[in-house]
Amino acid sequence: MALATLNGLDVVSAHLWMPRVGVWTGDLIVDSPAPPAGKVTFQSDGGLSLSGFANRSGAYLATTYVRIVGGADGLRTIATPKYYAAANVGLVLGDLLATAGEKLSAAADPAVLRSRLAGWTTIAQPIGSAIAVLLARGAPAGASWRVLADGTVWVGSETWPSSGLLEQTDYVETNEWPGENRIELGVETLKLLPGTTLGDRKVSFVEHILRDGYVRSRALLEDPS
Amino acid sequence: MTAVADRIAEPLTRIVKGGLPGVDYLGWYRARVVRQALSTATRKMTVDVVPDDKRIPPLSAITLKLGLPGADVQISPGAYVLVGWENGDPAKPQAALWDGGEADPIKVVLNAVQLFLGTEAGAEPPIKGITAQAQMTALLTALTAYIGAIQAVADPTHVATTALATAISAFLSTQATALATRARVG
Repeated sequence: MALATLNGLDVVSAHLWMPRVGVWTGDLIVDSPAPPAGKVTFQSDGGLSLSGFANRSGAYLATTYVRIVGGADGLRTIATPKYYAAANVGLVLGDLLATAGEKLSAAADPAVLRSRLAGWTTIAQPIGSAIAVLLARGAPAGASWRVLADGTVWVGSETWPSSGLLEQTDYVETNEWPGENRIELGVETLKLLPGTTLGDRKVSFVEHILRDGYVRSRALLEDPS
Repeated sequence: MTAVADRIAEPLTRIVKGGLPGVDYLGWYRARVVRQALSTATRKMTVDVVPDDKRIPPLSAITLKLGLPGADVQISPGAYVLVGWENGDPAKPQAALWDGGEADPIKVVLNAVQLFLGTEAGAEPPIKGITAQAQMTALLTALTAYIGAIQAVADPTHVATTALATAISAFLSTQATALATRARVG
């Protein structure tokens, strides 16, 4: 029994990167002669379920490699230039996501979406960059965005909910790099998400590693404010 | 893509640019003016422009900044300006810095309490043409009446009177041509 599957195929190894701001990605090796393509679902046994897109895949020496990207892999699409004499963040974001073929999360913060814009200029740039600019300049200070595990695009202000993971029960801290404010957790399965807390520590970036029974979640923590 | 771009350089460039959100909003881009408007209430000038760079959308009713306090201009259709964003803010597009648009403006108005051409020291006020024209007409009309009244005594042969009246008439009929057509002072 594999520790994870991709579209039902056993995953031999997985390396996932999940930033607090932006889109998550992963490099996987799957036990299949046929490289998955298009929409994919990564399922960690008893843990994360990730909805994404096979950005690149291929087989070499009976090993199939897949790179997956959260959502529909549309955030690198170039935005259609458009000028708005008056708008709000939700309107501009909606247009960007429509061009990208991505979906807005139902959990998106209405206060951020309602933020009024005296005007707005969308220039031709990757939509991920356009969203970053929109939130940095058009939304209230501190607004953030990322592609969630379910593949939708969330925008809002961080609330830092608890990860719900308990030390000794769900993880054991196996290493720490104080100079980098980074920790490594030994885990049974992949559960940790960015934008959550472990105790009083804010998790900013998560790197999941799964191979040959070696399961680790590394977290880059927010510096204390 | 530049000649030096490759599988390493291109992603690295994207990463660097990604870390500088709004960097493209700090540039200036050439754009053609398709419409201009001036609010008489606020004296704010706006233009609709079509940038040459297709990465930038047509922009409508954006502020036109001249960099000269009190100046209003009406430019020729098709004139070029440079467009950018104040402080790199996508919500604040603006047009400025003529780029060919300064040639043959239709109208330039300088709203100032005082305006000096040349040097300030020793400068003298210009004559206001229409006002001076009316004053001159009144004066010469009176003079024409006067010479008619004194002609019998002062000019029995009527030669000088006729010459002066003819000169005055010629002056009055052509003085409008002495008015400048391309400049006015308030």
